[in-house]
Amino acid sequence: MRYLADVQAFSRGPRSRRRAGLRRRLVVAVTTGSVLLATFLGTGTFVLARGYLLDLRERSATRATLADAVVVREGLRTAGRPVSEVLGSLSAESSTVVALRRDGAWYGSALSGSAQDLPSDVLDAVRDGHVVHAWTSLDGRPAVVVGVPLPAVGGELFEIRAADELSQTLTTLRTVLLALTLLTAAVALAAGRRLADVVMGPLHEVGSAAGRIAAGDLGTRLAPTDDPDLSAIVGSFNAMVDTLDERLARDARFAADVSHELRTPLTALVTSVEVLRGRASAMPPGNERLLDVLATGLARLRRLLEDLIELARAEAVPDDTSWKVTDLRELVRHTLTDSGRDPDLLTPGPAVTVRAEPRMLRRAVVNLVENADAHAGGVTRVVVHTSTDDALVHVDDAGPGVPWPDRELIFERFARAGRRTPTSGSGLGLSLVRQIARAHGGDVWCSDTDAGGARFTIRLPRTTAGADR
Amino acid sequence: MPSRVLVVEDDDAIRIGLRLALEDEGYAVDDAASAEDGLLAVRRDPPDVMVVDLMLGGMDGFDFIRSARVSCGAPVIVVSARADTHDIVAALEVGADDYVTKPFEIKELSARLRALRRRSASAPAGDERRPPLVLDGAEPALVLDVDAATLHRGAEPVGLTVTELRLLCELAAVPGRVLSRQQLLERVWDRGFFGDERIVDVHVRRLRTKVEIDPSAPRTVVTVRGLGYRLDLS
Repeated sequence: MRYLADVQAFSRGPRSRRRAGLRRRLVVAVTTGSVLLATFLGTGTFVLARGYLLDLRERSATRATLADAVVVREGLRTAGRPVSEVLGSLSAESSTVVALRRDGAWYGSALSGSAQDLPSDVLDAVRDGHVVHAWTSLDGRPAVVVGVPLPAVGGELFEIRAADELSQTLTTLRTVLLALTLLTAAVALAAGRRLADVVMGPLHEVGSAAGRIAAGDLGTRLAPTDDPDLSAIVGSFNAMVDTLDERLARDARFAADVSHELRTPLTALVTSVEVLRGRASAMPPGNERLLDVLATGLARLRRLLEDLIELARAEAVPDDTSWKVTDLRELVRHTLTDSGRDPDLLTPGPAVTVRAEPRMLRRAVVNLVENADAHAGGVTRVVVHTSTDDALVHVDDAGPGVPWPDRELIFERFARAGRRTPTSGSGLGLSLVRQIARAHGGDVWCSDTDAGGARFTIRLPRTTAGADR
Repeated sequence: MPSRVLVVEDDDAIRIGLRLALEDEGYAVDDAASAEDGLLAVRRDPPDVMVVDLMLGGMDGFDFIRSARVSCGAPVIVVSARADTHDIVAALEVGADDYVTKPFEIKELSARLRALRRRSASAPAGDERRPPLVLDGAEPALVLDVDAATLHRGAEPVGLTVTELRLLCELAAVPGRVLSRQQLLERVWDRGFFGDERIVDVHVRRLRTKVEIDPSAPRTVVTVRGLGYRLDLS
């Protein structure tokens, strides 16, 4: 399970570059949607408001021009009054340009010449007798022009009004709408992130719970929720873990039960063979060798059974009563001497304290040492030392080392890697070492020594010596 | 005279094997296939040491130990097939002295037997008789006579098992000084670095119920936190 998790963690890297994550996609979708909507509404508002304001301006200009046209017509009908005087009598604002065309000649209140620049379609339409309004420019500013035919006096009146205030209003409106759109984008981005958090939150919880479960914490469950959308997922997730937990417990119980059932007959066998060996001198010579074969096989069977039982113990919830703060160096030294090995294999140094179940840890060290005996010409050196937080035990051997691809494989149960031939080992030795190291909150791995042999390292979290009980 | 061992074991193969193996080791062996037969054997002919399987048909090993302890202080070694360590503690609580777990080798079992049958290691070489030691200031006082291997409160003898008495003697040999669990394991049970320290703890608990006025507030056999146990004379 752990291995699978590692593989997934490894493959997560390159994939993320090719495809945006769910979170990012959510944020992008919400933000883009909001900005598009805001732009659409803003543009619509602007277009409608602009049309309405322009229309309003055109109407008022037309009304004012028609009123002036009446004044001009009446003025011109009064014989003898000069055109300029008539035009001058109009009470138009100063910004308004008034022009009259009569018999092909132009008269104006302010002969800026702009009247002659009027669009020809406007001039044509007025000549044809229509009241016309249109947009033009006055000294580069937007302006509305209104033309009124005066058939009674044979002339045409044009008034051009600058629309500065209108264009200012429109500019302001556009600025406000643009600002609102940008604000919407910012709010949408924040909301999108929040939404993504809300959506991703439960997913993260599921993910980290699955991670903890994969790491061996089978007590992990998702907290119940009253969210109807999530409760189904939470429910089935927890049900899955329950099933898994139950299944693992059942398997472990089965293995433990089998081991225990095997103990009694094995004890009878071991005892009987020992009695026979004690009486070997009274037996015909041929039988002695047979007895040795029997004893060797029995020892191996016993070792396998013990490893199986220890494995079940290491997997079970630790029994706190037999754990204590222990000097790791002393423990290793006693392990070496108890198994009849030279304690000088252990390089001297200060005490290194760990919290451990001593008999379990002894089994881990014994298994490493026996592994070296069986596969690599024996142990050359054992080192106990420390890093910042951890205590480390190196067990170096005289063998050819373990090739790279096998360095993880050898910790699998019943894995006999490469050239390693099945010998006296149970096939569980190294996996038991790993199980024990992990039960202590540490781990074990294989590397190589400068001399080319294999180096097995057990890492355990350090504790400070002191009050234990 | 050889030590007499009583083997209580319901599995025929193991019982027969144990009997032969222990006889080869020089013990006089009596055996019983059930707790009931075992109790009869204890009453008929009290053994020097007992080897008891915890899982027996009918009356189980715990009941056997509890009942046998009423009349017999001989050391009991429990044989356990269950790795469940609560069983071992429970057996120690009812009066067992030590344990081996199946599958064991005979040399392991006989090492345990030898350790429990050993004379107290702290006995001096000379033949000078040591005076009885007054352990507390209560009335009547608790008096330990190491050489006679007896403990009395006033005129009443206090019924200690062989192992409890040896534990008390070890502590009384160095009154006021702390002995670590490791040291006690080594001296009383002959167990090394990897011995189970709970054996010491349970025995101290059992000892206190017999020697202390108030076992929940011990004043004679006191715990020294993080270090071990000490016998205080007062």
